[in-house]
Amino acid sequence: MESVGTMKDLAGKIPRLEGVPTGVEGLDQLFFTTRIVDGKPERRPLGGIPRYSVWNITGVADTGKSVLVEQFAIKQVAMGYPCIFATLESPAPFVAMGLKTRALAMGVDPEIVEEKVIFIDGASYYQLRNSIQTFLNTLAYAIKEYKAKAVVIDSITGLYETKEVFARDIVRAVFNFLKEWHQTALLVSQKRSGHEGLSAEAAGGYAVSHIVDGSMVLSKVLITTKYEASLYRRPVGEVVRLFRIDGCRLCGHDTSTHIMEITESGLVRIGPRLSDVVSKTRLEGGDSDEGGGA
Amino acid sequence: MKVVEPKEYSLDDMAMKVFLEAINLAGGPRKLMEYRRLTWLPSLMEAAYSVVLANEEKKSEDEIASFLGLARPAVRNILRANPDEVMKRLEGRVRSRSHVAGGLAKLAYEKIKSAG
Repeated sequence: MESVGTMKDLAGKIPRLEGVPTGVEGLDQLFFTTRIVDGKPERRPLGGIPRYSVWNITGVADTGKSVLVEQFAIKQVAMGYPCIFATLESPAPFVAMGLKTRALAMGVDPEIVEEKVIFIDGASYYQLRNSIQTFLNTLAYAIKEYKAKAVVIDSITGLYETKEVFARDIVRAVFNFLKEWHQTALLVSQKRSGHEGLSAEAAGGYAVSHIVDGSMVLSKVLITTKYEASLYRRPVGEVVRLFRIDGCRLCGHDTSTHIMEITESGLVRIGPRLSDVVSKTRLEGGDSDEGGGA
Repeated sequence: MKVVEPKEYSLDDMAMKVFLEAINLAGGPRKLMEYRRLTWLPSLMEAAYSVVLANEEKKSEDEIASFLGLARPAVRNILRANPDEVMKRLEGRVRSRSHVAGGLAKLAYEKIKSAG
């Protein structure tokens, strides 16, 4: 393909817009396409994230990022598609242990996970973290060898942990690679202490979110006042997790902030809109604007 | 559980490609001998590694300096060399202070990459 051309020149190369189920309850229905019916726009659910899209999954520690991407990996293999899981934080055997537990919670045979999740263990092999080209070479080999359709990188921050100024270059290289290999991918990126909780900002600034197709932001609020307790309908001392989609280049998406829950079986699910929870509280007269301490 | 062994990237192969291409850009090995420019070659090798490490591996000046055993300003000079100026200088058209080996290595790298 030349660097300059018309859309006609791209004929046959433009992918069909279709959804890839994520394995996260409540998430797939947040993506849609719109078509005009009788002069009016009509939403049609996509049923998942767009195929071949590359996502930034960001949030502070303990917001459920890794659980979310693990569920995605399990869902892919449950549907029969091998999934590459590049771990740069926890060594592969420990990730495998978590995946098996979550597979059981999702009603998926752990044997399938063992068979079809292919690990790239950057936590154990230093050269994968130290050389971006070695990392990409290994990823290329794994995709080709196992005919993978999906990639999880947990976390992409592991590739520029001590030199965030290079985040843009490194994420660009990974993004271009994933596009070239037609992968649907989730890249986990860590937040730093100064970052606003519900923004798409992550280590390396906005580098990741600017480059990829979309961001999912996970956040948490510790309930410390009576006001917050009545607003979120949770007791003081509990944690409320929040979720929002911060842009998607490839299709329409819900723009609200949602409650996110980690269930007793250790799975994440996207709950109701935060605005609906707050309205319900107000309708029931459950909050006052006084604020006040606990 | 399947774990893929790392498939190592050959930094040396790429640096050698850049080095040889840079020699060609300077007129080829015979020209280097004729003009008594053989003393450039160690610098050219360092420049080739610097350019590959910066562009392919996204290494910082400090990382490159430590890998090659050079001072950081030396690496900076290589990476900031102006290839156009260097070519003009080789053709005897201008007097440039740009790092010659750096400019050649950068030009060679660009040529290799654009050729695919």
